[in-house]
Amino acid sequence: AAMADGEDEELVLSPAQLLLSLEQAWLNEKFAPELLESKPEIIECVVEQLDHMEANLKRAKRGDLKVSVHHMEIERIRYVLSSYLRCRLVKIEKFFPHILEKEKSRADGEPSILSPEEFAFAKEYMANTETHLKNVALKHMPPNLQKVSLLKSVPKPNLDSFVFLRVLERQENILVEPETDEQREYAITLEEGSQHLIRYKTVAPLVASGAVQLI
Amino acid sequence: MEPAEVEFLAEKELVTIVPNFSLDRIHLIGGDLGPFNPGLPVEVPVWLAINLKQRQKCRLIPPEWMDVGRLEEIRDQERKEDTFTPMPSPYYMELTNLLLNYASDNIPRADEIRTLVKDTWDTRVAKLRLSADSFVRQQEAHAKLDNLTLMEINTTGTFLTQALDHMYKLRTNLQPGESSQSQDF
Repeated sequence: AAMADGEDEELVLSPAQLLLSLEQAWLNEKFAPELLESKPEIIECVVEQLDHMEANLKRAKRGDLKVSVHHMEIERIRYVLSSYLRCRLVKIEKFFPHILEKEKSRADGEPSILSPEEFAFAKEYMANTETHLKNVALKHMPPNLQKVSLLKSVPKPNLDSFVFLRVLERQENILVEPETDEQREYAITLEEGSQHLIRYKTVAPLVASGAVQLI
Repeated sequence: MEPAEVEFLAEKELVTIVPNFSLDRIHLIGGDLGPFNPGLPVEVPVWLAINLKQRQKCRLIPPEWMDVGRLEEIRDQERKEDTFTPMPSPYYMELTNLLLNYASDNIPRADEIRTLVKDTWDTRVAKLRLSADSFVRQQEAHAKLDNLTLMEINTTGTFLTQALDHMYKLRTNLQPGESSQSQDF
């Protein structure tokens, strides 16, 4: 499977590596408190692989043992893919004003956190929520109280949440901020293969770059 | 994460089976398996091994660490040390459960193995609870958990991180004038 890099270089991943990337994206999305960058290349390539395999299986003999083994693998991959997409939708519904605001103020070169379909979903969800609040309560309020700022009233993701992670690429000099006034900040080294419990905010860029894996 | 999801990940581990059927190589998206010949051991992922076993198409060969002597050593070391022993498999708990539930007839001294693994698990989870407790009390900002497996982290993980979140919210609300995430109304 071929995936385009940010700099328009084609990264050719083997199907096995592709599945591993999907799994990593799934786990990161599950444990990160905020919505992560969308991974359209991974999704597209996985769907392509699944469609291709299903087309092959249609032509094969029914009741063959091989066919059932292939089907089992397909079900497993579909499960991870669906769970990943559902996890993202849950976060979109939970943090929609902040996500849309972030998308609005995104610079041109920066990658989007929403796929085009997710963006459409988020906008529709926001519009529906606004209409619902208006019809159920706001239009019955005195005129000067009929506005509500969703950006202010919907809670933001808590980037200070603690997360568990495994280190994929060694990182030096990660600054750990103190929890209390009596403590001082200190630097740690994240050795490859080690596992840690730490605040998400400290390692957010490492999750995005793939240097660490949330678990 | 649900325990079933951790088990889902564990099912990718390879295990040796002895098939009673013939099949040439299967080219799965994730890699090649086989060929399968009756009586000849071959490695397959656990999800397939369990399925084939259920269809009576193979017998399973337990991993070399799934042995009473070895597990006794591990259990004793776990009880002796304050730190976590490196486990022979990052999915020791899941694999033990799966193999003993579906293929106990292929595993010598299965009951003893079940007990030994459970004892080791209990010791480790107790240590983890103590560590988590001291982490919260001393308001640590970071912890290293190298020899813990995913299932163990997952068992206490959600509770611990949610508890830390609550404490953080309570603490930041104690400090007036700080830019907290609370609502304006």
